[in-house]
Amino acid sequence: MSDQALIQMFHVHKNFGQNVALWDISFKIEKGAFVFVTGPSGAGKSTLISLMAGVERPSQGRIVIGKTELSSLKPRLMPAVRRRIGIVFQDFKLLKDLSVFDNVSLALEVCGYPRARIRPRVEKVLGAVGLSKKARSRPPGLSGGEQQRVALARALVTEPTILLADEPTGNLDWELSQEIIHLLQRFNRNGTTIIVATHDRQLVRSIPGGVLTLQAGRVVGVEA
Amino acid sequence: MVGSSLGSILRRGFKQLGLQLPTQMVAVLSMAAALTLAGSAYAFHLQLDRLAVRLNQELRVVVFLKPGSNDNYRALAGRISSLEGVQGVVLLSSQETRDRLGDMLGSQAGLLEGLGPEVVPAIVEVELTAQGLARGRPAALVAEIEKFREVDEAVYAGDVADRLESFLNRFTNLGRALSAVLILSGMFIIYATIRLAFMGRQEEREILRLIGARGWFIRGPFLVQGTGLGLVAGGISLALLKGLQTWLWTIPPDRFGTGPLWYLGEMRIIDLSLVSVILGAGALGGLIGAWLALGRVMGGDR
Repeated sequence: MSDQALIQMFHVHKNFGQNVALWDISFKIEKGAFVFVTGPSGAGKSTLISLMAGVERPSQGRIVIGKTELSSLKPRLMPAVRRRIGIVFQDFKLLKDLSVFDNVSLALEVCGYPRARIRPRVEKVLGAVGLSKKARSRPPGLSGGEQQRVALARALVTEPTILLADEPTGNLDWELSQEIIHLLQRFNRNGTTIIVATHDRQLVRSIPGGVLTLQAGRVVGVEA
Repeated sequence: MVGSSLGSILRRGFKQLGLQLPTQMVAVLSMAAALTLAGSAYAFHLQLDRLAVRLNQELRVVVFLKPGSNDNYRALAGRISSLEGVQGVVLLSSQETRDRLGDMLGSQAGLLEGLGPEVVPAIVEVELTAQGLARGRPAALVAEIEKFREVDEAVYAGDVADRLESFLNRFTNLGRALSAVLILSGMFIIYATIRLAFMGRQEEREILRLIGARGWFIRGPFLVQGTGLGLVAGGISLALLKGLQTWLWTIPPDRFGTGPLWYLGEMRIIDLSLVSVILGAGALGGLIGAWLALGRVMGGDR
């Protein structure tokens, strides 16, 4: 195992019943990298993100995050791994009955942060994504771009080593997509390893980063 | 580090108590009805128990002496006092007994006129200790006392107490069984309510799981909700019982032939033990109902 490698997959297969979602996937992503996982719909991008997040388990093969062997990890230890990984989804996955502030602070409460440390951290991250003035708003009252920035703030408030984003710009127009991607770049410059799954080739070309291309569940291209 | 997690669980649990009010009210009212009925039975049991204790305390063995034993009754009293289970004795000479009888007869006391004191026997009233009141001991004591040659007859009016005790035992067992059934029914309704709430918040559970929440962080608010429902039900039940007590106090003691229950004064329903039992049973019932509901559906969230 490489010292610099943060995420490693070794001959990973994933089946859903008879359907093959991923076939013999092997790669490694180094600490501090910015990587796009791209490919057409149904290529297996979301499945790959789910496997890295520990939401799904591989049918075969090994996944290593840092020094943790994810594929053989006991389920009760999985929450601790997930706390080191921030996740952002296309549909934001925000709790609609909680304010922006509470949605973000929930991630810290889950980790058991003392109350006194939660407020300054949430205020700081909301400031970083430009939502300080919307802290008391609820998600349904926000635009798509704002909701995605809340999701991003929630994913980053715990200062995870890895941020996984599954089609984070899928529901946004080009301008808002660029805004989100630039925010991700900013956090990447601060040391967070970022993996973005997207089918948007134009977005991939718009900023520098590694590219892993999937097609029908197989890796068909790797660009460093 | 656990502090904010616990705070978050409690906050979310209390918040859930305010959601889907009609469904939650059904659960609360069912549990409250169960607790009220169980509480009434418990209060009735306590009152009967107090009555039985008081009755036992006042029961004495009455020893009637043979005619002509007046001269020896002080010596006899000493012998009776030395028996096991005897607290003390009260001596009534023939004359004193006759006078007491006259008092009891009131306006018909004239019936005793012309009768000599020897017509009415001297009496020794025997007070018993707690040990002496123990089951079976009064009868044994009566047998021992009747062996003394000065004694004509010894009587212990324990039948009433025995019958009351027997009724109390049967009532207690019936009350326990009925309370258990009622509280189980209330628990089942809380179980169903929590299960529905849990199913209805699937998206929230999924999100919490994704951000690294452990099972207890996800389940906690539902346990708080179940316990809260039980406590609210307990509070309503206590209010109903208080109302029942106030109403009972307005009824003349003998209206429904329940005079003996008022023997100790007004019937007490609300006391500290009942408050603890009702609130405790409500909270525990709610917690267990919620726990069972989550146990069936948690699956992969553990």
